[in-house]
Amino acid sequence: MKRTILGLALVPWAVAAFAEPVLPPEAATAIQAVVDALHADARCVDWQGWTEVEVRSDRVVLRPLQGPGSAVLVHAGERPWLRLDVRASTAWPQGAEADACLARALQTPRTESIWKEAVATRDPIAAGSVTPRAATPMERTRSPTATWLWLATVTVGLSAMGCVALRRLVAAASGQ
Amino acid sequence: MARHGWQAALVTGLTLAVLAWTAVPLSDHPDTLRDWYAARDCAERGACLLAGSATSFGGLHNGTVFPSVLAAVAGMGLDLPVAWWAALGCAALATGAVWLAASALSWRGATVGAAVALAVWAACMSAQVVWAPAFAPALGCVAGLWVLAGPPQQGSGLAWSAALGAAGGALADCHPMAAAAWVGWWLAAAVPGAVGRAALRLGVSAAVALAVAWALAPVAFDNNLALARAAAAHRPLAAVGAVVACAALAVLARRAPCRPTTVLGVAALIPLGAAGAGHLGTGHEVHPRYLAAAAPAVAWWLAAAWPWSARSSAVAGLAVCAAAMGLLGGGRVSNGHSWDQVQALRPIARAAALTWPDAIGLVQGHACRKLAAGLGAALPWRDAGPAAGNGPVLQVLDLPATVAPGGRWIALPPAPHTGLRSWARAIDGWVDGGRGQVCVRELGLPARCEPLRPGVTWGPLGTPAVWPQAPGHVRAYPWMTTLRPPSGRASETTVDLAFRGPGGERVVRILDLPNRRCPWRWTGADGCTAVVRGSEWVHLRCPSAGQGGLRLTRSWGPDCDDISQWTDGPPCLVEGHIDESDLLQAVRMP
Repeated sequence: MKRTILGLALVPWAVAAFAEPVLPPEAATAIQAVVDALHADARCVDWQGWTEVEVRSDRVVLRPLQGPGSAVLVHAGERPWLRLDVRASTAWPQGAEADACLARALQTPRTESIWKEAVATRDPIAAGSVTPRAATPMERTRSPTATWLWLATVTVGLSAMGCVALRRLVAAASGQ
Repeated sequence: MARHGWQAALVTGLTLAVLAWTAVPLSDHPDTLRDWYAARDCAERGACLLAGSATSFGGLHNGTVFPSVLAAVAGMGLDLPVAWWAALGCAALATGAVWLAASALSWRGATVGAAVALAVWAACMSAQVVWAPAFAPALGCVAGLWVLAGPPQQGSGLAWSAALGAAGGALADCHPMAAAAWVGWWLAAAVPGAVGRAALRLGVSAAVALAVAWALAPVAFDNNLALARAAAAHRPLAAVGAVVACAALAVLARRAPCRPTTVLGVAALIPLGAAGAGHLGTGHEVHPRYLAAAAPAVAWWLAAAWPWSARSSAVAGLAVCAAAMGLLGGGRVSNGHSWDQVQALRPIARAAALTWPDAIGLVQGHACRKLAAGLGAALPWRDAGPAAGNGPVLQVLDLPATVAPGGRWIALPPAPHTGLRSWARAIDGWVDGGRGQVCVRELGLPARCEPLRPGVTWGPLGTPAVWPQAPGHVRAYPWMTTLRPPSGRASETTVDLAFRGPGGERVVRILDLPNRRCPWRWTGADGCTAVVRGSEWVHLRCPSAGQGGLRLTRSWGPDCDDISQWTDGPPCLVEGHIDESDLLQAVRMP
C-alpha cells in the first residue's frame, strides 16, 4: 500500500515533466505581434489567410483559413527561447517571399526587443529563416510496393488473429 | 455451434444492409477527393504518404490504413466504391464477430450488444463521409477478440503481447483516438494480478507490445505521443485523470482472476474516458468516430453485465437498430453530388473534350468546384495550363422529380434519399468561371485584386491554393477557402467573370448555398444590358460575342453567418437560353 501511495504521489510530477513548458506572457505578446505584422504587410499575401484563433497558456494556435484541419502551433521552448513549429502544417507559406515576410515580421520594433536574444542564438527561425526544417509526416513518403506489403501484412496478420481468437472462443464454448 | 455460425452470418448481412442504407454515399466531398487524389499519387506516381490527412485537431494526422486501402484499390485499377464497400464490409464482419463471441461466451445479451455496436458504427459512417476511422470497428474488434480468447495468465506471454501490439499499431495507424481502445484492452488484460514479480513481467509485456506497435506504425506512434503530450499540457485535468487511472489500475492489479465484466468495463471505460476528457480539456466535440474502436468493449460489457433473456435481448436489439435507422435516416450526400452522378458525368465531359484542369470554371451547377474536382479525379493529372478558351461548359441541374427537362438534357443516376433528379448537358456557354478577377475592398484601405487563373483552384484572395510539396493529383484537391478579409472590418468581395460566348440573350442564376445571410448578388454587367430579376437572377442581352463580363458581390457585415465566408472558388451559377428561365428557377440544392 505504501508503494502504491508513493507511486500515486509521483504521478502529478510525471505529468508535469511530460507536459510542454508554459508559454511566458511576453512570448505570447511577441507571437501576437508577429501575426499582426504579417497581416499588416501588404507584400505578404501568402500570410493573409493565416489568423490567430486561440492563445492558451502554453501556445498560440494558428489556423489557415484555407482547408480544414491544418494548423500551426507556435509555442515556447525553454524560456526565453521561442521557436515556430511548422511540423503540423502542410500549407505554411513557402518560398523566398514568404521567408522574407516572416523575417520582416520578426524584426519590427515591437517584436525586436523580445526576439533579439533569440536572434543571437543558433535558432534558425528566430534568426530570420524558416529553413532548414524536418519533413512533416505529410511530406514523408514510401513506395507503393512497401505500402501494399504493409497493408497485406496488416490485413493477413490481423485477420488471422481474429479467426484464431474466434475459433478458440467457439471451441471453448463447445467444450463446455 | 453451427447454428451460431448461421446466425452470425445473418447478423453480418443485416449489418451490411443497415450500414449501406445509413452511411453517407460516396460523393465529391472534398475529404473523399483529397484521399482519392493522394491514393492515386501513391499508385501512379510512387509517392505514398506516411500519414493520413490532417485531423480537425491541430497537429494530428489520421492514419494510413484507409489511404493504403484506397491506394491498393487505385493500384488495382478499381474505382472508389470498392473501398467504400470494403469499409462497410469490415464493420459488418466486426458486428458478426461481436455477436458470435458473445454467444460463444454464453452472454445472453449478444444481440443487443451487437446492435449497440452497429448503432455506433452506423452513426460514425452517417455523420460525414466514409473515411479514415471506417476501419476502426474491425481493428478494435480484433484487439478485443484477442484479449477475450487469451486466458489472463497469457497476458505476460511475449507472443501474445506482440500480437496485441500489432493490433495496437494498426489501430493507432487508423485513427488517433482508436489507440485509446487498444490501451484499454491491454490494461484490462495484462494488469489484473500484476503485483510483485508479475509486475516486472507486465513491464516486459508492455515493452514488447509497444515495440511491435512502433515497428508497424512509427509515424502513427509519434502522432499518438503528440496527442498524449497535448493531453498532458492540460495539467490539472491530466493530473486528476492520471491519479484516478493509477488508483483504479492499482486496485485492478490486486484482483486476479477478474470477472469478465470487470475486464470489459476497464476496456470500455478507458477509451470513453479519453474521449470525455478530450472534450472537457479542449471543448472538441465528442463525435461517434472517437467511439468506433471502443464499441466492441461497450457491446460485450452490455451483453455480459445485464441479466438478459434471449427474448429481451432480441427485442432490445431490434429496438436499438430501429432507433438508429430512424434517427440517422438514409445516407444523403451533403452539399454535393454522389459518386454515381460524377461517374455518369465523365462520358459527357469527354464527349465535350472538357478535361482537367480546364474543367475548373467550366462546370455550371450547384457545388460546381467540387463537381469539377470530382471529374478530375478520373482523369490523369497534368500541370495546369491555359484553358481551352471557347469550348463548351458542362451543366448539371438538380430538379424535383416531377420536373423533366426536354432537349439535350441527359438524366443522371438519382441522388439517394433527396427526392431530386439530376440532369446534365454540354453547351456553348457564355460565362467563364475560370477567367476574371476577385477584389476585396475594406473600408479605408485600397482594393486588393487578384486575377482568376483558369485551371487552378483557389486560395485566399486568389492565391493559387496548391500544396507546394504535393505531388501531382493532390494539387487538384478543392480547398475550402475564404474570400473574406481577415481584419473583420466592413468590406465587400467582388468577382468579375468574363463572357466567352456569342451575342444574344440569356438568363443566369446564382447557385449559392441555401439560407446564407450574406449571399452573392448581381452588381453589374459590362458590355451587355442586364435586367436583374431578384437577387439570384439576371437577364442579359449582349450584342457582340466575347465582350465584357458579369460582376457579383458579397458584402461582409456583423450579421453574416460564418459559413458564408467559406467557398471553394468563385460563386457557382448556371446559364440558360431565354426560354429556360422556368427550368432554372426550379433548380434545388441537394
